[in-house]
Amino acid sequence: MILDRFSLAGKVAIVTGSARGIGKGIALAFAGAGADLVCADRRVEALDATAGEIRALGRGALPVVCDVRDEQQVADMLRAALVEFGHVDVLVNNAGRAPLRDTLTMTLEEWEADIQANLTGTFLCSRAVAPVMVDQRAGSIVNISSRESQLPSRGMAAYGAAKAAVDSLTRTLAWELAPHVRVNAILPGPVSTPMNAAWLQKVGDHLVNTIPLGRIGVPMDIGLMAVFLASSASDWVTGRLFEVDGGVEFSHSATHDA
Amino acid sequence: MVLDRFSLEGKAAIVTGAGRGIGKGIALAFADAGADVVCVARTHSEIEATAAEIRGLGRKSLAISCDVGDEEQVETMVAKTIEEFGGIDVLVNNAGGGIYRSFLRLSLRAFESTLRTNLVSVFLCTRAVARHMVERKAGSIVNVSTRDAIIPCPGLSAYGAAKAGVNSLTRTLAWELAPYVRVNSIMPGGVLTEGSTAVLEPVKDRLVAGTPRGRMGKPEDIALAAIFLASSASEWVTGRMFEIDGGIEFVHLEPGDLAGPQ
Repeated sequence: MILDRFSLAGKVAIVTGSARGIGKGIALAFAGAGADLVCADRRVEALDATAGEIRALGRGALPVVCDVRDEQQVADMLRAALVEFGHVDVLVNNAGRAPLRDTLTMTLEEWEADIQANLTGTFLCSRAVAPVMVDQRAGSIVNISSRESQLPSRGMAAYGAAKAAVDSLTRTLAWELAPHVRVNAILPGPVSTPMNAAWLQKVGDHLVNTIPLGRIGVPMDIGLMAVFLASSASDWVTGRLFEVDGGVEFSHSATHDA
Repeated sequence: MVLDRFSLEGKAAIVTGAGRGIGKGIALAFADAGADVVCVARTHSEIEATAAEIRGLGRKSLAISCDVGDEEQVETMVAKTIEEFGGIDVLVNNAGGGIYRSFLRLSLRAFESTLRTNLVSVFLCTRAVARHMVERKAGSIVNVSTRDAIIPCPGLSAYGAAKAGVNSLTRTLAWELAPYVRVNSIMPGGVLTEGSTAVLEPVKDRLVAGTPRGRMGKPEDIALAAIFLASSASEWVTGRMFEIDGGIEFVHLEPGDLAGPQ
């Protein structure tokens, strides 16, 4: 039955930044498709809530407090995953942050912090998990990038640059980890999440007018693309970028006055 | 249930070029995913065979013989589909193809014929179906383009140009037909089909060596992406090109490297 190709039954997925927002949407979509989850995040309370929702769907959930910028925490997270489940089939590098900065007055510390949060974490998790997947001769890595990687990102220069770097890393790792491990990226457009709630409040109505499909995204929109990329339905797909964005062609940062 | 979002249950789809290769793969996969399918191509025996296989899967299917480069035949085909199925939910513009010929040996006739088969056909089919979809306020159009539209392909100048046109149409129509009708395209890499296998045989090893996934494509690989784009799983996706190609970047081939007439 062809729809079985989209199933994640029997698969174990690590999703970073899955306490809320897009990461949570992906974790819940994966659980709905049959996977067991390792939910990694810095935020303890929200993490337990997400794990609870996954278990309510009848799937296994291991919440792990983990800051993806810390090598030791990433190693500990992977070890916990393997102890609990024995294997890791999917890694979703979703943890990240998009603070608004004035580029010309931001500090070096702020620049480096943004790069760390959005690029280095993806590198550290991929570096840790990929050898397990290569050993298994199977695995799918899904990097959550952003449309901001391709568009001018006013007010989010470091975020945009870091996500563009994630796109590049996706292509490079797709070749280095071939043929058994696939690596792809999703580039979300404006999705409603706790991280951007305040900004959406301010620009939401104006923003919708710029989106062909007439609405802002929800985490499940990204979750469904992630299910495609995590499953064997995308067996012949690697090194590619997938925009899920309602058709939007230009970015609106908070520097755009509504 | 998340997996229900990928289902095509209750949907009626038109697939052009459904008699063989990728088009046949898409038609059968759609049926497996729950859709009723109208199989369109010039060779009636081939599409009738596809339609019979679809009925064997328990879905409804109609085989309509049609030259998708002919305006009147296309309008008739669409009218017949609406009459039989009441509505059209998905259009897959897959019909097309190209012959390998060096540019300097290409006649105007061959160039225009390639444009008609690959680009004008997409215009004609989409125009006829989109009117209806916009009225119903629902629909998904999936254009089967090719990686040859975005990378240099010696010997496929006309085909590449026509498909690059299909890519552009995809982006423009995504805006013109919004918000109710979505338009996306798939760019397949090297897929082995009845038509392509013999032609690609002499260069298969080179293509595979240049493909991270280490294999050539199958019609099913493209069909699975088409199911995603046809279903509500891609509800927030429009105007986009899905590269389904095993990760290949560029393998330099010349027409003389391939088998078959050039």
